[in-house]
Formats: sequence, C-alpha cells, structure tokens
Amino acid sequence: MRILDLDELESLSKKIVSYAKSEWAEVSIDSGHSANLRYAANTVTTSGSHSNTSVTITAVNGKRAGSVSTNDLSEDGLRRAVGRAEEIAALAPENEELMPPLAKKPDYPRSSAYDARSADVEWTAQQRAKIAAAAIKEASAHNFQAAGFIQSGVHHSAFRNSKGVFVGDKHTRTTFSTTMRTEDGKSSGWNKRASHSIGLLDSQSAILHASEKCNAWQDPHDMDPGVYKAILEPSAVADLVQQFGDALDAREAEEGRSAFSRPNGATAVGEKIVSEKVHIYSDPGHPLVPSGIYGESGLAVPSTEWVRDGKLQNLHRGRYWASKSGKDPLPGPTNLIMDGGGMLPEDYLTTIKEGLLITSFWYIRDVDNQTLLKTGLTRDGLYWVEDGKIQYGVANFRWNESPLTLLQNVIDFSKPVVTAPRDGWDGMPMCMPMLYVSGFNFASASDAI
Amino acid sequence: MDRRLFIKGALAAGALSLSGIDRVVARGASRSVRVDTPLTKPAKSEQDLADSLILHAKSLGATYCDVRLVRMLSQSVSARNNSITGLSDSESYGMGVRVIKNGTWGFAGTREVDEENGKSAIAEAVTIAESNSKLQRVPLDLAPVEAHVGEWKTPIKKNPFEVSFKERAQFLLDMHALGATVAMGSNKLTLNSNLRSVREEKYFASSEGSKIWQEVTRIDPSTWATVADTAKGEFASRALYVLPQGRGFEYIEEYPYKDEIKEAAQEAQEKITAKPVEAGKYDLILHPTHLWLTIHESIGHPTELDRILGYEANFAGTSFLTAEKWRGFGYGTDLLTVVADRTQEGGLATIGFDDDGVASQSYKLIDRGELVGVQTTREQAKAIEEKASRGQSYAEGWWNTPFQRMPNVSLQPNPKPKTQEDIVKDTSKGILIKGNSSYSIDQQRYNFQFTGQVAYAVEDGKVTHMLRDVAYYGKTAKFWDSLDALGDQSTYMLGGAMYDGKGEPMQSNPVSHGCPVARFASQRVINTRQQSANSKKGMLDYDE
Repeated sequence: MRILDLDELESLSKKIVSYAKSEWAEVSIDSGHSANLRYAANTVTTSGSHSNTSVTITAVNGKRAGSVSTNDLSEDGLRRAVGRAEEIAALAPENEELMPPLAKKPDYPRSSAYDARSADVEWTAQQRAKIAAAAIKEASAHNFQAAGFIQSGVHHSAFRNSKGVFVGDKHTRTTFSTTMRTEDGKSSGWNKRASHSIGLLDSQSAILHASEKCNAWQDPHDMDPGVYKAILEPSAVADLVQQFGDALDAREAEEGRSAFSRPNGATAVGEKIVSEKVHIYSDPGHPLVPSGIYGESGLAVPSTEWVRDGKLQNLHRGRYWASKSGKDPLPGPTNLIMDGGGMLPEDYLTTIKEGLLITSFWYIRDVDNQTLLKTGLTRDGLYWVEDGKIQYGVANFRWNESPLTLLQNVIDFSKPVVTAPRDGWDGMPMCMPMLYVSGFNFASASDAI
Repeated sequence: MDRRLFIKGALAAGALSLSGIDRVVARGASRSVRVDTPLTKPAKSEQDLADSLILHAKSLGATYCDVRLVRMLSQSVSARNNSITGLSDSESYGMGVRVIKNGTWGFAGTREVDEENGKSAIAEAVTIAESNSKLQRVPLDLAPVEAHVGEWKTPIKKNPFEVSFKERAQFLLDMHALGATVAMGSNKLTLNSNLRSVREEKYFASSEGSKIWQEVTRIDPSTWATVADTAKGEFASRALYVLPQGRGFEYIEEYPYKDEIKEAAQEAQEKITAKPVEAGKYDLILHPTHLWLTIHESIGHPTELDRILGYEANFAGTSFLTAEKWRGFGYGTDLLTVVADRTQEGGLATIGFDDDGVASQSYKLIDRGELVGVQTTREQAKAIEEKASRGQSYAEGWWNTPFQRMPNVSLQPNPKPKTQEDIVKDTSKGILIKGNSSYSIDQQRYNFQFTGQVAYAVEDGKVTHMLRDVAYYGKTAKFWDSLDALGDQSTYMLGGAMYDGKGEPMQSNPVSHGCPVARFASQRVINTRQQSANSKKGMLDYDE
C-alpha cells in the first residue's frame, strides 16, 4: 500500500519514456493514498482507504498521437502500455491541433502544498476518528443528528517528456464537512473546512458553527421569492467564483461561444465586467491555499490576475489556441483567491444593515451559458439579518443567478478566509471573503431542510 | 438461453430460501441455470487469493469479508469538427476488501493484487473497523443472502473494444462532415463528440460462499452542436439525444446519427432567433429524451433508503419520504407505475449480482400512484422490516466501498393506445420539450427546475414553432399528481447517465431510466433571460 516518492517517480518516468520508439512521448504519473471516515445519524457508516499509482503515456508520430493509462507498473505492463500507445498513434488520423513537446523546462513556481504531518497515514487516521467523535459528541449534547465526512490524502505526481522536461509535485489535502440536524428533521446546519494541513483545519470551530447554524435555523419563516440583498458566506462565494472561473476560456470566447465573447471575435478582456471592488487571482505559491504548479504538457502555472478593478484581465489559453492566435499559452487556475476587506467574516456580519445570509449552495447547474446564468438552492441555514444580527431563519429558496451579476452587485466584503465550495470541486484550494451584494434572485420556495 | 440475462450460476448448498421475500420478483435468481462446471474466470490463482484473504480476515476476527478483484477498462475517442482530438485507452486493476468487525465496516483498496498486499489491505480494513466501532451506535446486521456461484455478462452483439480506433475515429469524422453540410450563412458551427466504451470485469467472493464473475459493458456516446452568430456575439447549442446504454457497438450503428446530426445543427441555429417564451402556466408534453432525467431526480433519488434513513444528510441529501411514512405514499396519478429493474435490457445499471452478492431483481417502486417499494442493500433491509435486500449495492471501482446505488428506474408505458400525436392533438396551450439540459433539485427532492435541448409551442392541438429560454419548475408530489396523459409502448425510450454522483467520497453510478412521452397539466414555466437580479437593466450590457 506504499506510494512512490518523487525520486522514484523521476526514475520511473525516465524508464517509461526510454521504452518509446515513437518520435516523441510524454508520461504523467500520479501516486497517492487517500483515507476517509464517514458518519451519519450519530454513528459511523462507511469508511476506508486506498492507494494507487497510475501512469499515462502519450506516444506521438508526426501529428498522430495515442494515449494509454495503466496501473500495472511491472516491466511487462509498462512496456505493453507504451507499445499500445504507439499502436493507437499509428491508427490515429492526423490531429492538426497536436502541439510539439515543450523543449525547455519552464520556471516552475514554488508551492508549499505538502504538509509532512498530513501525509502520516496513522496519525491522520487518529485525527479523523477524533474529529468524528467530537462532532457526534456535540450533536448528542443538543439532541442533534450529526453527519459528516473527513478525508485525508497525499499525492505525488510527475510529468516528463522525451525532450527532457521533468517536473514533480506533491501535495496533501484534508477536507472536513459536517451537518447537524434536529431529530425531527426540521432544522439543519453545516460547515466545511479544507486545507493542505490537517493542523490548520480547526475542526472544532467547524463543528460549533454547524451546531449553531442548526440551532438558529429552527422554525424558519416563509418569505416570498424575489430579489433581496444577500450576504454569502465564504463557501457560497467559492461555489459561484469557481463557476465564474470555469468560464474563463479564451478559445470559447474568441469563437463566440462564451459569456466573455463580444461581436466579431472580440472578447471582454480589458472590459469592466463586474464591480470595480472585485479582484480575483490565482497563485500556486499562496501561503494559505498553495496549489498545483504545472498544467498541460508540463507548462508552469503562473500567478495570474483574472479580474482587477472589475476588469477582466485574462482568459486561459491552451497551447494550440495560443499558437493559432499568436499569444502565449496560459494554463487555467489551480487555486482561486478573491481579495476582500479587513474584518473577519463573523465580525463583518455585525456591520450588515439587512439581508439574507446564505450558508451554502446546492445543486448548481448551468442554465444559460450566454449570460452565465446558473440555478441552485440555498441549504443548511438561510437567515434574515438586520442590524448586524440574525433575526430568524428563512425557508430555503431555489435561485437563478449569474456569478457575473453577483460580482456586479458587490456592496462590500469581509477579509478572505480559506474555504471550500460545497457543490463545486473541493480539490481546488480557495480563499474567499464573505460577500454582501445589493441584489440576488431568489426564484422559488423550497420545502427542503 | 435468455439473451437478456444469461446467468450461468448455481445456488450453493445450504442457501437460504427466497420464499419469504415480500413482493420481490427475484428475476435474476429465478433465471439461474445450474451448472456443474467451475467459473471460467478469473484465473484459479485469483480465486485462490480471494479465498485465502477471506480466511485471513476471519483469523483477524472479521465476522464478514468480501473481496472484489476489479479490472476497469475504458477507451475513448474524441473529435472537434474535422479533427480527432484524443484517442485513449485506460486500464485500472485492483482489489477492494471489505470486512465487518465489532459490527462495523472497514474497507481498503490496493492496486497490488497479491497475497502480501492483500493481507495488508485486510489488516488495514480490520483496523479501520476496530477503530471506528467505538463510534458505532448499533452493530451492523446484514439481511441474509443466498450464496451464489455464477457468471453474468452484458448481452452485446458487437464488442466495442474490438472495433478499431481507426473505425471509431472515422465514424465521428464522417458524422461531423455530414453535420457540416448544413447551411450556416455567416454563423459558425462547432461540433464536438466523444465516444467512450467501458468494461468492468469483476470477481466477487464473500465469506458467505458467493463466487461471482461478471463482465459489464457500457457505451457512452455524446455529441453536441454549437452555433455562434459571431457578428452579434450570441450562440446556442443542441446536444444529440443519444445517451449511454448497457450495449455494444451495435447501439452506435443502429442510432439514427445521420439524420440527427443535421437536425441538431439546424436546431442550434434556429434557437438563436427562436421566439422567447412568455412566462406562465402551460401543459408540458415531456418527450422521453427529456423525461428520463426528471424521473431520475424526482423518483429515483427520493426512493433510495440510505437517503430516507439520513445516511446522505451531509452530502447528497435526505428525502421528503420518511422511514415511517413512505409505504402507501400517494405518488402521482393512477397512470404512474414505476419499476426498479436491474435486469432491464440495455440498462446501465443492469447486472447479474450486486456488490453484496445479491441477484438482480425487478420490482415495483410505485404501483398506479402508490409507493410500494424503496431501494435497499443487505445493510438496510432490516431497517424497514424487509427480510432480504433488493440488491442495490454498488461500488464505482476497486478503490471504493460499495453502498446503496440506484438501479434502472423506469416509468411503465400506458397499456392503452396513446401516441405523442394523440397527446398533442388534445393540448390547447402547451410546450413540448425534448432532450435534457439543465437539471437541479433540492436536497430533499421537493423543488426542481429543468430545461430541455429544444422546446416547441403547442397551440390548439398542433406543434407550431420553436421557443427559447424555457425552464419549468415545480414540486415533486404536485408535479406527478398532474400527470394526465401517458404514451404507450410505441413512445417508450431508454435514457440514462454514466455519472450519477452520490456518497463521500463521491462515486459515480451508471443508471438508466425508460419512459414514454407524458403530459403534465398546468406547470409553471419561466423565461431564463428574465431570471437575474439585474435582468431588467440587461446583464449583457452591464458595461454600457
């Protein structure tokens, strides 16, 4: 159940590439261990662990390429995989979009996404059990039902091409989320944390937040659907900013297939698309949310401004599209950070005049890619806030809204904190503020709790 | 031999009787053919390894153990316009071991399938169970199951893994070339396709005597056309209605791609300038290419017992149904009969045995508007006082633990003759929706909102013109109570999805849903371009 260290990935990748008879080849390797503990109804449910090492080989002749993935690391298995990639390449039609390998090793950023203690399998197992026990204890003390999930992982990854470019990276990541429900199922609270370091999770704070949310949401009032001022907790902001980030593709925009397309092949880059208060960027070396350092074909992932002063700064650009448009390639973000104000979210909330406080979002889906309109639901705590205090719980809503609108309507925000989206991909480290917006479209009522 | 389900199996000596199972039609088991020969696969060494690991688990105090040796094969061809953008072949082989000790589950998975690593995995699973048992409120009590020794394979005519990459690539390029013949004027057409074939080879052995070999084949095609009016900076897409199924390459060859690729390109173009829908109440005629997903979300998920019991409270959600009150719940009109069926031909969830070793079965979830069944595993059956599992345990791969997953859940067609034309003729103000696009439902499955690929106005008994920006929303119980017309068998189609997500860590489950065309009276329809806090000032013109 052992995973391979970076030295082993370096020598393994070199060996695999040496097997290739094709004009050139590249190989990606991921070796990881992941373990989890799940609980619900105040009892443990399914839990487990697994380890795997998988290799993907791409063999290329001219404009023809074939890719094979395998987790058979035996000599025979690897030679077979390389041979199979070459067979597939021989059968492949020419791909005009195929790009040559990188000839020179890029200057990769430094990232501190690996925490040695979080890679200790036995120690993290103990921590998971302690966290679950604490959550169940808190629930029992209030006659709540706790459900939750803790997952710790360590991954070593590497990329090599036959031109000699090699890059290795390793990271750890732990996520913890917990739900507290009343026994009658009429109230529910939730919180989630994620970090490369299990020591930075502050799981007890998450447990208490979920418990307080559940307590404060009992007997929610019905409100009419409509546009209200809203306060989004950092996790809810993370969900919508991640959706915004997903749309930042240069090719789609320049081919007229994106919310950032403008007439006659122009794009919104340089245009003020949201409030001038908004600043969104990515930085693999960010101390709080360190992230992956390489992307497509081994390209380095640079720090990138996406939105500054409300203006769209960049769209990510694949290598083929970059060559066609005469621009440099730009990998997509591996983390996202949105700047904010100076007050912590809980302090910032006390300054809010009025609005609906949203704990988290659920089941977000695209509705209209032209406007970036999404739909989804509020979940596990929606409250009416007045004069800086939660006045009462409010029954859940479906909402129809665009992240563009959300960011256009920013009134103000808290200090950004490390958070994780609930509905989106929690493999992306994110640092987001609590956000106060002048209008958010709550479209229809939901009876769900 | 029955082509749909050829189980070459035998009920092991000392197996429990099925006679006491309430309302379960154990079709898988009833079709078993006793054979005296041993399993043809996997290799004897792998069978011996599994036996040895089960004994090892028992020696460490496990009261239950199962071992799954799983090989996941996947091949994919993708194309954009006249280019093949990817050809890939993937294989992952490994072992998942699951134990119960002290009444608690433990699981471990490894790619290293040998005695030494297998024993390490067993030890790790046992340690996890021991450690977690301190948090277990009530010890697990599995419902009994017969010990099966048998084999099952998806019935296919043409193995997709034996169709050359070259042939598959050419198929997509030819199809795209046909789509590109549609006149676009100054508009720009982009066609994207992916054709993925998946095979799951699985050996399951349990401490209760089951030894089961299965080969499950699925095919997952997708194609979509996007048309951009680059002068105006507007665009629209239309996906083909082809959906994944548990079939071979014959499914691709039989699908009417040649007609639909051109239709999709034309309709994507037409959508840009189609008439915007006026929000209001309409009778909705939902084509089976759309309705399958509505069934999935508003019937499939609420009837999962793990949701009802609260096991999914932290992630996928619970259900508006409760453990005490689900039986007899009024679910729709008497036109609504829904069957859970892991034996359905072409179904993505069609298998011979689940990952608890329970034979596949078909049974009613809803009988003429009354809820009569839910989805269970061995772990859950006793919670609702049923004597046996319904066979809904499944793990995505060797690397994760099985839990309750959805079988094929299908709406039965009207036994009386009723065509789509009959329903349209009988509709004065309606909208016909085809294909699925946006779908979202709350965590207890009350409030949903869906959109289709295309929508057409139905006026005074006729389909008149295309509409754009159509979404409908509603509440599950009221929605099914408004079902007032149902198509017959001639309108029945099988939809489905490869990646139904549930659980933590999230696992994907392939699942199909068959249904006929159906009409729902007086549903609430919105115009999606009016759905934003800023829509009145024009979201597209924010900068001006």
